[in-house]
Amino acid sequence: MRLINKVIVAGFIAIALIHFGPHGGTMPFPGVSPIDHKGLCVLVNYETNNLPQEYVSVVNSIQSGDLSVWLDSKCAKLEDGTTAHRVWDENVDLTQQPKFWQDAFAKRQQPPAIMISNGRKGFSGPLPKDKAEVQALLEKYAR
Amino acid sequence: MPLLPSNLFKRANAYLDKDADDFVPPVIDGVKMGLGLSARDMRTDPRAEGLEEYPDDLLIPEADIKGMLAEQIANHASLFELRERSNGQLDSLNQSHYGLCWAFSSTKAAMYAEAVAGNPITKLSPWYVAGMIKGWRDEGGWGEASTKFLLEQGAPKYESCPDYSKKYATAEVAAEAKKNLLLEAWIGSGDKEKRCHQMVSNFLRGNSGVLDLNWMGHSMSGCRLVSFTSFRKLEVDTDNSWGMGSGVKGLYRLVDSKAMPDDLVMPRVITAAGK
Repeated sequence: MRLINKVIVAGFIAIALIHFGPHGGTMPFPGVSPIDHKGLCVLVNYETNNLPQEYVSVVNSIQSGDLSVWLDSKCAKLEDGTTAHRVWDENVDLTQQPKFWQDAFAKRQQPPAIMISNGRKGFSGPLPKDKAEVQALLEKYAR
Repeated sequence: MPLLPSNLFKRANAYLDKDADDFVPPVIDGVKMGLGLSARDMRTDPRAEGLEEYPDDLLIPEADIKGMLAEQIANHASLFELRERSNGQLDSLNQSHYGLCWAFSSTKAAMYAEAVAGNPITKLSPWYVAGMIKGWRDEGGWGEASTKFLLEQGAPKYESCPDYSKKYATAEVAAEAKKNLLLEAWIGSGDKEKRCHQMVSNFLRGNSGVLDLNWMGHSMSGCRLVSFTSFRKLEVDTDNSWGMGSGVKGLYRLVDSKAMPDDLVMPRVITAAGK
């Protein structure tokens, strides 16, 4: 491989590490699927012990409300009988979970954050406080 | 979305609006349902060590509670709705005639913690939790004791310990219980009004709670705040452990002072178990 190609590859790897390392950068990284699974997958990570009040409504909606219903209808169906959306506390134990969830969680951003993937591209960044903003983000990658 | 009719709770209201002295556990299929909460004296039975009190930072200011409740209702985002959509996986448990409510309430709250995370919902065995704590005797207790057991030992799948028998106390079942270890839980304040504030805040944050109620001699898993005027005037729905044939599909509504728990434990993070 020519030197210029090696430099380009190294550059892409460095950018990916910056964006997807644990609690790394906060920018979306289009063109890469942050969760290595086919179909729509969504992962929200947060800390139950200090979730600011302004996030409560949107987290509630993703956990058990309208957004949860939407996610159930759109997300990939998994072998364990669930659909591929999770809302995990920072201290959850994932040792019994499939590798793709463990790998995705290892790349999570600073909480509260959201990771969306459709198997081809995705988003990993801060969780918006506004439910409509989350819905728009989800719909963008559900297409 | 399959929501319940708005009048669903009329029967529960009629039942629970009775005076405390009139409260009698129902007889279902010839079996009188059990209670089991032991009145606790904190001087002789103090708090277990290592449990963290619900943080003040998480309390929803009283002025914000009505607004946040309206938002939760608009978003259909309480545990009540989650239970309705669970295809029976979160149906009320059934303690039958045993006085083991204190283990059923915390085990159910742990199942709610699984559900809100989106994990596969594992029906857990409260029989195991109670049996291991009480040496398989039919004895009363309180929610904190069973929650502490869930934090230290976990609970196996229901089918691994489907009734109250020490034949299930095997090494294999103990190992399986560890796979469903509760990881984090808060306890409530010693002050009754603050404890009620914590319970309300926890419901609005989408979590369950173990409500020990001395007036009933009973412990139940709370699943939502219904209405709020003050910490002494409010309505709370609980997921009882007398099966789906009691209350309204197993749910009971507590009103005003009867909704103020005498002790409160709030399981919040559980191991993401495989199916």
